[in-house]
Amino acid sequence: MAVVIAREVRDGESVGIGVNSPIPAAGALLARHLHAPRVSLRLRGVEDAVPFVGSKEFFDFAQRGRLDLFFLSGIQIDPRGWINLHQAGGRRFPGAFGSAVLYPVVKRVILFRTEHSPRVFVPKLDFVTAAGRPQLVVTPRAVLKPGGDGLLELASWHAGETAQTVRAATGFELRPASGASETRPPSEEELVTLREQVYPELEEGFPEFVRRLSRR
Amino acid sequence: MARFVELEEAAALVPDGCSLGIGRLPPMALVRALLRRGARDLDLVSAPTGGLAEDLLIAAGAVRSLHTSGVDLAEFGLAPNFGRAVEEGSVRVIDSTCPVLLMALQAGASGVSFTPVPGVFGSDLLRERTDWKVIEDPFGDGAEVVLVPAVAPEYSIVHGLRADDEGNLVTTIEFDDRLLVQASRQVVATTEERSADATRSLAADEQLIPAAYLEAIAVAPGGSLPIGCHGRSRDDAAAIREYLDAARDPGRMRVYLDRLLA
Repeated sequence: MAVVIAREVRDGESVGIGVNSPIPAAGALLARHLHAPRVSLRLRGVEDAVPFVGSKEFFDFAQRGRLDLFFLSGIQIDPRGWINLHQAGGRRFPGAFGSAVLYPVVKRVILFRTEHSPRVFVPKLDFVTAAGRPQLVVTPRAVLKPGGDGLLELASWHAGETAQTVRAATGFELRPASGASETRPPSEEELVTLREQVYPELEEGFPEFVRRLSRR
Repeated sequence: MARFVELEEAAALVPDGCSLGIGRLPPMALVRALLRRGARDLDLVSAPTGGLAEDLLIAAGAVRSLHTSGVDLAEFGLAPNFGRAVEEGSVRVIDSTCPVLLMALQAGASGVSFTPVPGVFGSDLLRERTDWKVIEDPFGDGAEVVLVPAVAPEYSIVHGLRADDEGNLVTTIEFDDRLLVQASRQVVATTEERSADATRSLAADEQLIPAAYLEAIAVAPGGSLPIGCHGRSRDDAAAIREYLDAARDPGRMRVYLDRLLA
């Protein structure tokens, strides 16, 4: 997932990463090592992160349309890529955080979700926390992108999956995009950079994430 | 100029039934002191998100409502007592979203009664928050804009890195605690340490909360633990996991609280 995200980061962009987004953080740092050295980051625990005063200054920056790329997730995600972070099946989840404003105002939003199942990708959300149009959706199984009508389509499936297995794991009808194919696998360079350079950089801001990786 | 007081006296300054902002560098020692004095019926305000402090206050039954953009334990996952209390309906949650709650605090800090906010259209928050209004932007080209009421907590509690003898308090630029303080009518603070030259020089990632805003300060070394304190300590992961373990079951949570507050 981090490698797919890294490939979407463009050099010179301003990129914001939330405190609950270790995988996008890994992706953005990987991009900075490989093809986007001039990317500016708002990321906890990184020494040269933009020194905004408070999260308010960061949100103001985004609200004025200056933030190029941000990452959101959802307890539920619907066919348009709208997200629910509040409640599902009678259970209460944390809440919107910045999403209800950021989704509509940030230039590009990438959704990421570590579970790709019918209970996550649902036809209708129990609660619409934030509405917007994602650039793409990255999961452990696949990459989805909005088609011409704004509904998500299957752009690529990762090694070990097929178009059929991904569609079976999705709770709504998932058309294959034109040219849908297997995701380009991570290169040796991408994997080595991730392990040897990116994970140590994440230690300060995401110690639990790095601890879990090192136990695997 | 702020008064320096003991921790228990600081907790006594915050009355039951007040609206209470909680700093994002969490004043955990002061929260525990509040619970030891049996605080009740608090209407919490996040700045703009909540974490362990809010979850603990809820677990102890001290909270009536919570105005927040979201509550979780960051890398440690969901806030169990928050989730359970909202599901049971024992705590009323007033949902917002970070930029909106921060702009509402800015309105409170600036002494105006409301503020326009961007975004939000398409979100069910707009339906749930019946106190938010949609009007035609009087300065725009016919577009609609959302207005939200100002947020100005009666009290706030914050934790800082160090204070000088006048009570000027240094905090991190990572959070919005200075804005929360500006918006609040009375503020009670704790600090890792006090020294005469505490505010003589600030690092690039620090900012000052002027003593003019503060009613009282208590010196509480390690006052954010088990949450790490910017540049001084990291999260005490073992202690947070122990909390989470207890929090999975209400009975075990009561035992945990009895031991914590003994």
